Amino acid sequence: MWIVPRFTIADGGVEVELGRYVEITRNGPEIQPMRLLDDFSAGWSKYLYDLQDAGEHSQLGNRFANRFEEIFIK
Amino acid sequence: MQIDGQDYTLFRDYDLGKCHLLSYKGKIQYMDARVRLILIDPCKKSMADAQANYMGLILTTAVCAGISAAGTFLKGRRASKKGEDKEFFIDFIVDYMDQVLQQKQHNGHSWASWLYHHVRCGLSHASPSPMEEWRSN
Repeated sequence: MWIVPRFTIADGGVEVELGRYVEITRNGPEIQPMRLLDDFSAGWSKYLYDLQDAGEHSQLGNRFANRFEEIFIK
Repeated sequence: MQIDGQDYTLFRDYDLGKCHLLSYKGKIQYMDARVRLILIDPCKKSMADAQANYMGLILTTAVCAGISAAGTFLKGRRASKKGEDKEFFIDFIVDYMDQVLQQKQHNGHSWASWLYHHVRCGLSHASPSPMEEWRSN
């Protein structure tokens, strides 16, 4: 992963003061970064809850365990 | 922190010889704590002052990298074929994030697609030519 030389988002941007999560403004599509972080954080928690609920022998659980092994065990 | 009766630092290199001891629930607990430690909590601290420290762009890029990583756990492997990185990214958003990101913009592209092409890949490359792919869609 590397930052491309342009140092900017080509279409739209990130706006801290945006009233909504996402909005089309005169500058194009914009996203509120704190809302994105909160959304990801809640989604990650829900995914982990689903993993516990589904169990290790489910497809969801197997996939999680496979990826964990690839990164942290092999 | 203690998980399944063992001490873990939550840093891969230090925990490498011990992670195989984790139970299924222990692995979930490990990932919960690790992602909060290395991504969510630092981003929250920095974002509290994002207007003054100009961290908005960097933090959004970091969160997008987190979505990509979460997508690989959802799929059980890293993305390897052309277009899979986008697929994994979008699928995590569709399954676990706010439905507003699935809505279409005026040009017919979804917010999730815009987030991938213009924010995730527009700033930090994940595929060879994401902008070309965006234009061809």
